[in-house]
Amino acid sequence: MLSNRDDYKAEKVSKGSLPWQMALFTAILTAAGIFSLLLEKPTTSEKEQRELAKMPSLTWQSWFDGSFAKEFDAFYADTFPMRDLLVSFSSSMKESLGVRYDDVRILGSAEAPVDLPDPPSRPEPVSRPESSQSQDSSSSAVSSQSSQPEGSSSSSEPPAQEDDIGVNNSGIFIYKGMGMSLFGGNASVGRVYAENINAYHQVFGDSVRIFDMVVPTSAEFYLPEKYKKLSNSEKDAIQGIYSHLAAGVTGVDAYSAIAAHTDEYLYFNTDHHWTGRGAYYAYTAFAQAAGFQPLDIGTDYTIRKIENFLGSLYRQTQDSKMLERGDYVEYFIPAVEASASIVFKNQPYAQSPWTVWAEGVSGGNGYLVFLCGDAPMIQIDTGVHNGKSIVIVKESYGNAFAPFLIPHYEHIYVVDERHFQTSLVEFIQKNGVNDLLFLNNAFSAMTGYHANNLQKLMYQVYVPPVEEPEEESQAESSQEEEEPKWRGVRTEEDDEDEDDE
Amino acid sequence: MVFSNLIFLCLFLPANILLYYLTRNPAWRNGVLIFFSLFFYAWGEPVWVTLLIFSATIDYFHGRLCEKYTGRWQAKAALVSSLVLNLGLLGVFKYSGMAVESLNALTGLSLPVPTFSLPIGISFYTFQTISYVVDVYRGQVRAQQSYWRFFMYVSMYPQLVAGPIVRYKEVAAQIDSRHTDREDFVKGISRFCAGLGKKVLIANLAGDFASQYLDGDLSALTTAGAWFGILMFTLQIYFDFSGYSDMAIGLARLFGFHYMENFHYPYISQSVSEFWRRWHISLGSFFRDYVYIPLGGNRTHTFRNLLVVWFLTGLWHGASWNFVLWGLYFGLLIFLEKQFLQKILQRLPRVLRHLYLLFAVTISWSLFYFTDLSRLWTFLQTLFGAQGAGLWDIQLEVELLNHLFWLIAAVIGCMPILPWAKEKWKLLQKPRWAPFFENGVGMAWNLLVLFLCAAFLAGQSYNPFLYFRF
Repeated sequence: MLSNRDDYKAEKVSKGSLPWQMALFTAILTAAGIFSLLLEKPTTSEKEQRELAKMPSLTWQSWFDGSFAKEFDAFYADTFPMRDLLVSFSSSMKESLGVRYDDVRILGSAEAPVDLPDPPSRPEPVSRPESSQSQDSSSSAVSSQSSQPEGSSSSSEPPAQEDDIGVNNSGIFIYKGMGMSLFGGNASVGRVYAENINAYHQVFGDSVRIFDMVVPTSAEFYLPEKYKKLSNSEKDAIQGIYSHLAAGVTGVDAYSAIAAHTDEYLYFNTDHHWTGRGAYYAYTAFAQAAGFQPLDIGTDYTIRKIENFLGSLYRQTQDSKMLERGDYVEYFIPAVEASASIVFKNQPYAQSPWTVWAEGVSGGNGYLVFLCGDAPMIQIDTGVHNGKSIVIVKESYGNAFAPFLIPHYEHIYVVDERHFQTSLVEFIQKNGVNDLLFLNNAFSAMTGYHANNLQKLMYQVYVPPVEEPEEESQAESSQEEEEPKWRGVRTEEDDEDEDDE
Repeated sequence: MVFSNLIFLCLFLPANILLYYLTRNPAWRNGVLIFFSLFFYAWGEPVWVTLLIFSATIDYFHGRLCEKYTGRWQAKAALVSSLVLNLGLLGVFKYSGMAVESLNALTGLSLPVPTFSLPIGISFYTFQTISYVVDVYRGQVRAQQSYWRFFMYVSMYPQLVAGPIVRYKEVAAQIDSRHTDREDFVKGISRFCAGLGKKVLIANLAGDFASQYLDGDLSALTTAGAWFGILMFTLQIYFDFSGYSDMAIGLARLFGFHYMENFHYPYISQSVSEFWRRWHISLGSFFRDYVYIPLGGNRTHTFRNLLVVWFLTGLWHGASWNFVLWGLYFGLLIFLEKQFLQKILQRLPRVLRHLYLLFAVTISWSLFYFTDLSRLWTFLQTLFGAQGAGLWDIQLEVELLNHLFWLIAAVIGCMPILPWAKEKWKLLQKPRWAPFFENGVGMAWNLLVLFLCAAFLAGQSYNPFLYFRF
């Protein structure tokens, strides 16, 4: 064993051996580290529309069960200095890894972050419409961490089952700047969906007219011929569902109405929703089924526009062609007056004033102009005193649709199947509803999570949350202001969009 | 903790370097390495760090006993005790679940299956300490007298969780006294950045593709898709594993340790035997020196010896029978090569030998990838067009084109083109400023890779919340 003295000698020989490379390397890493600790940490990300991971608290428990390390990893990555810049840079790098033949780009399902408003496995019967629950961003980093043979971590993971994921998304297809989710529907789920609707007919018999309208999405019409087979036929899927509907339930043929107008602006380029105009043609199909005369889109509405809309598909892919193409949101205001009220999450028995058109939204929030987004229940009371009322059970596709019914019903109850917290059957009986419309896009009708929700809704009992004080206060504050909390985000996001362009 | 992580890059590593080089006191430096290694390990494994300490401690004493009683029964007893304890730990933590499950399946019993979470790196560090005790017992190396120095050897974070399996005798001199010179720094940085780039820029993306094509519904997979998926896994596992070894070797070099190479462009081999001399060299040589040769090697019972070694090699990679199958598959090929295949191969054109090896290895990765044997069988059928959704798929075509440059870069990365170019460059007549130019270009390249990796790592955390999605 060498003594310290000998070691000193050895060091002396190599004195002055620190090359500038090492100094630079260490200095850069150290500087990044110091900045990452000293700079103020953001708490939300406008680009992603979510709350960033928070600094976890260090306790014996959190250290020893490993959760501190995991959460700190997520927190650190989420709040890294210049993260937005790095993220944009990496997306544009990923875009330049090859060539864009036919102006086509596909982002496989692995790259499309799977999102569910509420994971089906959540134990509580309640859901959170507005809380942007930050998903565990470290999980991707950890699971892709290693294929080191020994743990064989990445290879031994069980293949994901579509039903577990809950979204039939086989990837995102981008053609000439238009993003489309590829449809991977599953017929057996569609059957469950239809049967769950039939159950409502069994309860109400002929006292309530029941309609089901399954709406195709953009991939059905706008995939170039060569690539058609990448997406399963939504037409077949919809027909499959309708074939399982009971005799007393009317399947509304929105498909043909939309298909006749595909040269118009019916779907967004950068978002997975339909446009107001797309919803209009579905409305004409519904009018026919329900037996009333629809308004004329050319003459009967005040048409307004929100420019510079960039939606979810852009947020997911940050694709430059999509950014170039962009979107605007058109909305159609009928002459009939209407007022709205809302039921917030976890306050199922209280109603607060709301708005049918959230005209102040902009940027990434453009689609929120319709009813100002999703809520457990939004009630629209109209100036049509015909005594008719309708319940629309929907996901977000229903938001653009519901306002078209204003000239035809005195009361419109827009129920979000994911967030509604009390018994839908009781709700319909209590309000003496005449018509019940289930409106879903083909993806959600074919997704187990949504199909099962319809059954769950029938007789569910509201259970107040045990402890979620923070969210309660958020709901209250937004109630007081009569404004959704994303309003505050607006101006900053505007600026960002301008920067992008 | 892992290397490809912003916390490691921006907090852990600079803190480690600065503190290490704060003084020249070797005890301080060793202490810094031990502290950071324990922290590194405990960050992901706060409980089982105790196992690491236990393992290092017992083998410190085993080593000293083996040396003290050289040639006497006590030395042999210490060796046996070390083997029993190390392999016992490995058996309990890694293989008990598999063993009980297999027993249940064979006998129809329903014994409760133990569910230990596998402590990170246990397969690597137990093999390191085993090699140490065996080498001391054989008199090939002196036992380490200082507990802390021995502990530093076992816990060194660069190789702790994913190898290479560093033998004590290779680094014994450096453990006692080391210094880092100019070349160590420059090469260490380059090596680390190269490894990080392999992991973050290639392996991760290849892994996304592999899981996209291999984890889904296999009946919807086309033959082309199956080949693409398994080739992506072929790229992923090489770039991931060799990238990790590069990072380990580079980091160790920054602190004055010189580790042996662990990968040497395995995919350019021309036979399976050669492949295993280039792939995970530290593991192959471990089994060669501590199992194959003691069993008699090529001299007696070659077939049995190969069988044992490759059974164990497979099993080492994971507690599942598909890994055993994977190991035996290689054992069989090597046996056949020794018997006659090598002679036939020698007569074939070189390009066919390469194709033979690549084919054999790619198939082996299917055995490796699918832990579920029925999925494996379906996959193999798809690979050869016997089932599945047709031969070609258009999505694959688009994705190939969308990633064309990246694919070319990845394939080039499997071949020793860079070392070849460097050799050629060395032979050129160069002006006097060439070294400055080389240093500048080298460092600019490193920093570019580092920046790209940081961007991709930050990109991984990008997770847009689409609260109104469907």
